[in-house]
Amino acid sequence: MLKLVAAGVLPASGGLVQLACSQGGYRPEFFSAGQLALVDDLSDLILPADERSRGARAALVARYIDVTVADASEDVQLRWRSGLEALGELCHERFGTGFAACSPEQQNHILADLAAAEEDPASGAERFFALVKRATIDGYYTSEVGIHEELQYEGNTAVDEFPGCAHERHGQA
Amino acid sequence: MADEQFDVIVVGSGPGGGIATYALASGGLKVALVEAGPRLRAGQDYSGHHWPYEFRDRRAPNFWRDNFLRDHFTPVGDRPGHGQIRALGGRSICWAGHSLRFGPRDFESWPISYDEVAPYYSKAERLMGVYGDHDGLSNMPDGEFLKPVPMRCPERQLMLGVERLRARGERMAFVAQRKAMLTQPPDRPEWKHRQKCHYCGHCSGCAVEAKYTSANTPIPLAEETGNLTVFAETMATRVRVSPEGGEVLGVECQTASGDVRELQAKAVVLSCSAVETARLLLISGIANSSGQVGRNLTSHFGVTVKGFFPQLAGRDTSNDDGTSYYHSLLTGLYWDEPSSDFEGTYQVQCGAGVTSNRRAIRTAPGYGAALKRRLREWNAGHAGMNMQGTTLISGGKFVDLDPSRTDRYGMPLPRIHLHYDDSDVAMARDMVEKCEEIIRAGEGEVIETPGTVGVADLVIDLNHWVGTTRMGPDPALSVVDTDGRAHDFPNLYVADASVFPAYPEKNPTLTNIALSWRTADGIVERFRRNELG
Repeated sequence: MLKLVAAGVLPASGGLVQLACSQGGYRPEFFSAGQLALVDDLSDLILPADERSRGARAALVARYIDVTVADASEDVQLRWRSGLEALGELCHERFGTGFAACSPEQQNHILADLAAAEEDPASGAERFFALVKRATIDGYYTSEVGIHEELQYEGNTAVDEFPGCAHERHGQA
Repeated sequence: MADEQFDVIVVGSGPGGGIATYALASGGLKVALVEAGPRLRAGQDYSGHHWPYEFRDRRAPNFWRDNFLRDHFTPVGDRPGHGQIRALGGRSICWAGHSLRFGPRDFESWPISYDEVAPYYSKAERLMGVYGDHDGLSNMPDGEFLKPVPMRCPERQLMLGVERLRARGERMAFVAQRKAMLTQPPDRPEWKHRQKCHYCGHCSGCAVEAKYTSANTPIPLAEETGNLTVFAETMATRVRVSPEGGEVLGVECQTASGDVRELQAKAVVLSCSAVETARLLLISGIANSSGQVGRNLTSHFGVTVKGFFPQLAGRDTSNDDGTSYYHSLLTGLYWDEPSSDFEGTYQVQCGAGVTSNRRAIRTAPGYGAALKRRLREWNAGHAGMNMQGTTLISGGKFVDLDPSRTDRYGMPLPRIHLHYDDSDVAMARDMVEKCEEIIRAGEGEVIETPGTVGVADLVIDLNHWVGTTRMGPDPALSVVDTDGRAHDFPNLYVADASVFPAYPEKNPTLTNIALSWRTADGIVERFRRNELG
């Protein structure tokens, strides 16, 4: 029989958040443990928690990226490896340490500079930002958190009539 | 190798072959339907009712993406694509259902008139169940519609933009889409295998048969007449011709297990799609005294522009699915006054909303809380405008056989040659300009645009190819006559969109079905007069 019910929306408890923070028990398939933690941090800076919904960390976006890169072509895997390196080099150059060890202000400086170049990325770190951002958005908005909590989308629900726009003011001058 | 005798063999079970089979079997003829793919059961062999996070790669099942053939043709030139599904029902299983009549002006460049086809449009709409608004447009006539499905709020803003441009004298119209989906209970006998739409948005592989397909309407109805034999998982490899070449004898096929099978019939109907029908004729080396088989190839092509309406940033998008993304249509462009910059015209399919088919907004500048808020607002308040323009028919667009590559049946693969013309690029530039203007007039901001369009921006429609066995009165210039019958053979027909001699901006399937029904009725009539067999 058809399954027309919205699949269970995540409970509001913080269980998953804690699990994600520690990556508790998760064994990465592509990244090293340190790389996974870094991607986890980056994803959560790109799409953080706010008053409406939890962020990329709670949505386990880093794990999504890990398995999709593990399944991807060598080409794609190389882009991730060299991108992580390029970001590391940039941080060392600027602040003498890796991204994870930078202060929140330093991390924001780095990300703001990379984002400023996203229209036309030139350096390895700039291209890596585009790669992480794209993957983070893909992972977040296909997750339970992104779909149901952030977009508040029910979907896959049988309705008798499609209501459409019922606002008199829409579409009127 | 068992010989089997039929009145008519239909090759291909998509929109054209499905309806032809139904009309022939209902007319009392013994019909064989040859389909390379298997029978599938909606809701069992495919269903879209899933979430992406149920899957490791976050890709929920999608009938089209999961089933179209790959590496089944050779592309030449500007990135041609070719959609093909091997299954009973063909691409009618995954089509979007958009059902637009061609208008009287469109038929002016055809050898038959709108009035000759109109009764078949009506029959087709009644059988299929097509919803729509009565818009009273001059060149996209209203049909026999079921209750329409309304637009979403951002689409209404586009409509406002269009109204304002119309007030300034621009000629265009903005209407609700028309689709072959049941918006009422299936209370007609032809709809007994179908259900009313429940607006889940997974139309591409509709799991409940709310959308019309060959597999849920004409083929089962034809089987119930007792006159139809379906040969599924059977590939037609050649059309067989009498030794003196005067008539077609039947079709040579290969089953999935590699057995060769000969089917004989008094008439053969090819409904394999514009690329595959041309391919089968070229492989068989027949019906091409005009040299036109594979020529006159055209499809639709497009680019996308998106707008955002700030006043809709907080809109409720909790259940936006409807009948998938596109609920509206910009049309009526250049019907009365052709452009001086390009030939032909285009329409623009418009959609909005957070839908389950991943068409939501995925790009915005920046990072952090601002990015997240922007994506949320853009998803809620955006509208997408997807151009569908007709590619110019020219020498740079055609189908032939690849001399060096074959498929698993040993048949040469088709080659699709696509070289855009200046007219095509000029049309796309016009569309971008016009859509940006409409978005702004509707009090929106342009958030996605190709800017100044070049050939690299153009995206061909994989599923809208037509024209490769064009219809015409002159055997020197066309492949089939106005009844869909090959000029070179009295008992060989084409019933699919290959026969279109000219192509408007409108989606091809409804016209394919209407014409194929008309062609099949002509065959029944010829049998009745003992002109066949």
